[in-house]
Amino acid sequence: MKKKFPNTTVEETAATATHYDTFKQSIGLGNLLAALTQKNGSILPSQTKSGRSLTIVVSTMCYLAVLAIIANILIYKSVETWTSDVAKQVTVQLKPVDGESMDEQIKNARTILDSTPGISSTSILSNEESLRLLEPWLGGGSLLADLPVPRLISVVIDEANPPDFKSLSQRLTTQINGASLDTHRRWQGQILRTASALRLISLGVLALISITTIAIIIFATRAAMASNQEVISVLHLVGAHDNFVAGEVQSRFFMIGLKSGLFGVVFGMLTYITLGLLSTSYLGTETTQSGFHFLYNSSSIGVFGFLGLFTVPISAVIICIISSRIVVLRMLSGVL
Amino acid sequence: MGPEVLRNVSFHLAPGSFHFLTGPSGAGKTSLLQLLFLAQRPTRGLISIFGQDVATLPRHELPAIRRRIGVVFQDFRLLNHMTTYENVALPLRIRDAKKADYESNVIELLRWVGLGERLNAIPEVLSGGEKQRAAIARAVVGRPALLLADEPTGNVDPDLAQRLLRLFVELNKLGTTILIATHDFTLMEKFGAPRLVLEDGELEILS
Ligand SMILES: Nc1ncnc2c1ncn2[C@@H]1O[C@H](COP(=O)(O)OP(=O)(O)O)[C@@H](O)[C@H]1O
Ligand SMILES: [Mg+2]
Repeated sequence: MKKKFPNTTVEETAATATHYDTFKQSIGLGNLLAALTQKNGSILPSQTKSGRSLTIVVSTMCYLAVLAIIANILIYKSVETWTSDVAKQVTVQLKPVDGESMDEQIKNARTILDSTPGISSTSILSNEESLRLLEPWLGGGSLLADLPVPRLISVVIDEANPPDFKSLSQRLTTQINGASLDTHRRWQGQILRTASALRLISLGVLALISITTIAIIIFATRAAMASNQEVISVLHLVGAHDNFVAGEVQSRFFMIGLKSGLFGVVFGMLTYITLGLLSTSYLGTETTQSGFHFLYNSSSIGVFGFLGLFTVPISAVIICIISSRIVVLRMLSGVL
Repeated sequence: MGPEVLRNVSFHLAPGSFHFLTGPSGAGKTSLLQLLFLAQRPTRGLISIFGQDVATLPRHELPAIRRRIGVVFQDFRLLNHMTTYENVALPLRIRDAKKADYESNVIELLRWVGLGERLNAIPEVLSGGEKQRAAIARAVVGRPALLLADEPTGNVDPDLAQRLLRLFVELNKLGTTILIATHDFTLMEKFGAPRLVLEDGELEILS
């Protein structure tokens, strides 16, 4: 019987290089996609145990990254709402002065304010309202009733056409005894400085997390290469290109990065929602509550913030495939 | 560095030829084959394969040459986490060949070497002779221009040894250059191909 030999022909496709091809080549995308989509499984033996521990470690990194991003967004949004509220308002303070009638002072102040362009409205806090503002510091009751208490006029500014605060302040202080203008600018500046410091810190934390993750992946890739030495050596001897081997290794790290990133987003969101619920229900003292409110009230992280969290799985995947690829190609370049 | 294993070695394998490589154990047969399939670089001397000087080849051109060489390793080097079928299909898979294109060919080849019933067995449960045949199938599946076999009959009974050798002869008829390392004299006598004899680092050619 005549034996026929298998005539398998394999054409090596000579690709015309476009920019996309070059990009794909540079991060091994073609080989990675091929490795990810092959139906007959990976060529490397599955390593469930070490893969699982690595997923736990990388997931933790992703979770921390998600928390850092949430913190960053919340700080940004809170400061934005807070400062824009404050910027809309200034306050005229009228201290009681001996020999002057408070009603007279208020009347004069209103005259000046009404004649100033760029002011949309003014409202005078009544004596009771002023007292209530002082209550937390001085306590309520009859003690205050007899004390002369400063009166406040809340002034809403036309934001499109704000008044000249300097000349307004000057006119108030020179024309009325005991009057002063508080624009809150000083506080605003401090809040903004503190907030941007906090945001810088959160960015620093993100950078540290990324660097640590890169180090972990480099380490894990080396371990994977060492434990698969025989397989890789055989792949080599039957004529596999370095890119092919890299694609196989990368596909494993791709899955780990993707899973870990998604775990990070899920657990990060759960943490955020849980803290939100606690703050609005029965958590602790008034101050911690207001602290949470400061972060949570108008500033849910929003749809864009939520979508922004998905930069974590994307970055995790990118870190995983690029770090592992570089390590594989480096290691292979040392062998014949 | 240790002593030189191969010193005065000079030969040419014509395309489509059939040679035995022999010599006592430790003579350097495996070392010579390793030089030929680019697993080792010579410390000195010239090796030219398919008309290309190995020493000047850049790394990225080596795979293309390796794909034209089929190797039967002395210790098989089958991958234990894969089935026999997957092991044999490996050289095609790394060339990005489509499974649909090669599957039936691989199965046909495995039947041809008598492993039609063992397609899904992992190497661990194969007998020595079965592993040997799987290793041979993997070496020839890519239709190599050059086949290097390192003692491919060392682990099998004389009867199977002859059948395996006939397999190489068939392959040779299809145009593959063949070099078989062996120290089985009965076999070499029976097939009567020219012999490269290694001894004390020197190579002698007997036709
Ligand atoms: N990787 C190696 N490094 C150094 N010496 C080696 C290596 N492999 C084999 N040798 C030596 O080379 C000589 C030839 O070995 P080998 O080629 O395996 O012989 P054969 O296959 O003919 O039995 C032996 O003396 C062996 O000890
Ligand atoms: Mg040997």
